Amino acid sequence: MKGEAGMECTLNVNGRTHTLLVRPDETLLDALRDRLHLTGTKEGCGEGDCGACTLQVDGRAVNACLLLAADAEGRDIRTVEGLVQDGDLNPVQEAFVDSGGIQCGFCIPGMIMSADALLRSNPDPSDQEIQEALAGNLCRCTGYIKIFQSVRAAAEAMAGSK
Amino acid sequence: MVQASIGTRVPRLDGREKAMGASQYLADLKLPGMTQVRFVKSPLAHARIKSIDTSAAEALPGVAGVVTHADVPDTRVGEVVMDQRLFAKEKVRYVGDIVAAVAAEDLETAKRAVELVQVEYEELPAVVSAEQAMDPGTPVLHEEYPSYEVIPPAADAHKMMTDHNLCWKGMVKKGDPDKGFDEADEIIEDTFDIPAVQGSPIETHGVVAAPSQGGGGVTIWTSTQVPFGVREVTAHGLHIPISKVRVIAPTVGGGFGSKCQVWVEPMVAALALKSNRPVRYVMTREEEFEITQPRHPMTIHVRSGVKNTGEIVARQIRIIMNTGHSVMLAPIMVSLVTNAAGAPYNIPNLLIETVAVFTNLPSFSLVRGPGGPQAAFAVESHTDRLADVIGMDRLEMRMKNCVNPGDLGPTGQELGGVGLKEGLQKVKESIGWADDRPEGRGVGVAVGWYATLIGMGSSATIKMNEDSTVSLITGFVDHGTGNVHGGLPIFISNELGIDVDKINISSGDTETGPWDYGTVGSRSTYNHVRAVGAAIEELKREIRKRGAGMLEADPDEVEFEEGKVFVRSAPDKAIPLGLLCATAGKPGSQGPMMASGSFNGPPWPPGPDVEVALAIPSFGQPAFVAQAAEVEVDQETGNVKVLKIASACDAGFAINPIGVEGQIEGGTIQSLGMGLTEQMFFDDKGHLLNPSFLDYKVPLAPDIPEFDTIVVESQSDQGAMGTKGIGEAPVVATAAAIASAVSAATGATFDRIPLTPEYVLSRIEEAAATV
Repeated sequence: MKGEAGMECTLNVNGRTHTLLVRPDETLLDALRDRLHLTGTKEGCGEGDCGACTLQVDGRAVNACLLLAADAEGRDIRTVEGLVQDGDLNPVQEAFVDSGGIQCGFCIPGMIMSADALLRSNPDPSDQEIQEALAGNLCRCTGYIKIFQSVRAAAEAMAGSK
Repeated sequence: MVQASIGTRVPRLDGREKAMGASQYLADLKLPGMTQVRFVKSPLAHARIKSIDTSAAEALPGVAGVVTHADVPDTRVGEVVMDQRLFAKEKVRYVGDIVAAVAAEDLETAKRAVELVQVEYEELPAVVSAEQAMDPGTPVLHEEYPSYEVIPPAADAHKMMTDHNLCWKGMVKKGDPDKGFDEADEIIEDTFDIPAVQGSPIETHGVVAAPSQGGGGVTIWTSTQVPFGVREVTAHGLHIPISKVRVIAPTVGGGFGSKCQVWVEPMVAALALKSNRPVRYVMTREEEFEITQPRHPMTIHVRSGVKNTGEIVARQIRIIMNTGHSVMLAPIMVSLVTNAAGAPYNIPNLLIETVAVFTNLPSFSLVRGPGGPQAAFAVESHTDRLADVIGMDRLEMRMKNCVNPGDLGPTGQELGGVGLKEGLQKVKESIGWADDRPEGRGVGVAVGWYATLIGMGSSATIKMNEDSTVSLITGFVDHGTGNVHGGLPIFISNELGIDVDKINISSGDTETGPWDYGTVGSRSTYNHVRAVGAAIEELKREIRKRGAGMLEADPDEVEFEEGKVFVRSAPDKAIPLGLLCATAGKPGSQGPMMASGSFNGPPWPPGPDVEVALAIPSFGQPAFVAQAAEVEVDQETGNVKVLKIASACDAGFAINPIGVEGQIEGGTIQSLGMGLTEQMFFDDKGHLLNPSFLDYKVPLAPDIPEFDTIVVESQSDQGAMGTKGIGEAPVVATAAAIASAVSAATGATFDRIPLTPEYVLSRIEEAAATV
């Protein structure tokens, strides 16, 4: 969406700094998708109910559709595109692929960002903690069963590699 | 990677790109010069259109084009009966009915332009319930219904639907119901109400359209399950030859049937052609709730006669479907729900009558297992009461009356493998059916079934590449189920002896892919295994022939494995598969190598002694489900907590176990939502009151109970390695199983879903008051 984008905004995304012009009311989601062409973060509802737009801001899982681009200045923003290291999937991504946690895939970037944020702060979560950490990420395809298995597999892989 | 055998656990091929966020969904597409589209929609459920003035909108700076009915041919479109206009002309028939489309440089300008389009309406009384609509005192919603044309072979059946606001009807009759009821020891009768619910894929609908290079046509990208259906309806509606309409499905983020309807694509295409620029429409979540096609709300009457020994001797069912404002796929819907209500029981005397009635609501249509959950909730709740009335265990009632392998179905049809009682036994054990439980806890069970839609046409091309990979080129779409990216690579890998990561897939493009009916009705794996299988057989013959030539042997001595070709007696002298198709200029070049195959089949026939008046007469190769639930009910608040679900689904044969489990789990949880929290609320003026995930409650991660996924493999002998469609059956009986469990836990009975705390509490109190 291009409009009257007159406000300068500096965003630190996946370790790189970008200076762009945004509208004052432009969300971080739209700025990332339309101006930085980082389309991995999805819009499912635009009003903070579905979690498809989940990314990490300073390590915390956040709905990008509810955050203004201007308010994300000076923060460490990480999107799903930033998880890949030297062409390899990170352990959470790998676990989702191997455990069958992916069907249509539309909820998956947001789901992976929530799961990744959980495991960084809580490497050995209980089943209930996993369910609660994903409470803001809707999935309509999987029934969540293999998503929970994916997060459990990621936790085990990350613990095993220490 | 892995050379897969059928039935091994292989991750789907597109998982990696999805996990990286690299897959391109519709909203990710960008074309140079692309404008943004918004629709002008009716705020009224029923009104005549007196005038439409787009001049102010067209004059707004930044507006690239506006289209109304005046800009498209005066043609009705539809997939059976052609009753829809691309843009409303004489009337609007539901809140959200599309009157015009606007394209502008940005979304804000498009929204402002929408507000500038002046539409003058003469409001008419809105009819929102089927009961109202059938009353001759209410307005006729489709005054010209008998004059609409049909797409053959619907054969003008709609002309016979002369009752007031009747859209379609259907019937099944087997045996002699009156006589059957005379033989019964007990007869009971119930009425059930099931509201509208939504498929709600996480990706909303979206369309990008661009005039074709060279003119005279259009290219449409759309989040769809049916690219060839989109092509046909667009061509028909815009008077463009089919060959000039190209439809491409990008990665699709779920559909559940809502993306089987062809509907907004021709409108967006019209705007691309008028403005001569690429245009983009992405549906908002609010629109997804308000104007797409939800599940049919239904009222279902069930009456059964049972003997004291437990045999159900007669059953009579009447189904009233509120079908909304348009025919869409109502003839198919009527067939599906009527068959679903027949249920997997041996009942010798059966009468099912179904009507679909027009109202001023969104067009209700195909959503995963259409009619299945509604029919199962009614039939299974009623069958629980039959058991209670004669003092029989509810699960034993199913064991007594369910179909066995070798039995015929409710429409007298052959059933293929029947893994129903096996599933029932497994869920009985899994849920601890006979265990003692504290007060407030209960277990319930429900059975169900759904068809594999066999036939309707599928085809595929497979080509060998010089690097010993193969490319599968298809016209069908994987909207998440894994039909294309999960199961087919396993099948191809097994057949050709190559690794799954040596398989490239190109799908969902009507220009490059051969014709396919679409990813609907749980048809994909069965039909594509047969179409792709036919192509592979031809490719194998060619491999043997060319291999024999290059290795100087007989074709039947040629083997292929791990991407290599060799003579059976000399496996160390193998050559790469890719060498067989080495292109011109290389030594021994034999030219390109590819093969095609297709599969079609007639509708599954009913048996000879059953009277059937249905467009789809019979459930063929059905998948059977037995689902059980354990719940704990708070008797003071009515709150239901599901402790465990056991879901046993007969998939015939699981080519792709990860995929089959995924369908069982996803479908079962959607049904859990229907059972407990999902409901669309319409007011009496036809407005949807809860068009957001905040107020329309789908299951969340913390709602998921302990879950036992049980894959039953009855190994049908009716083609495609015995596999059955498993996309829909899992959604059929879980809501019923939960209602059954809540009934067991509380002693109350339930005539509708969802079982909200308020409703459960009211029924508990009613049950206590009548004691």
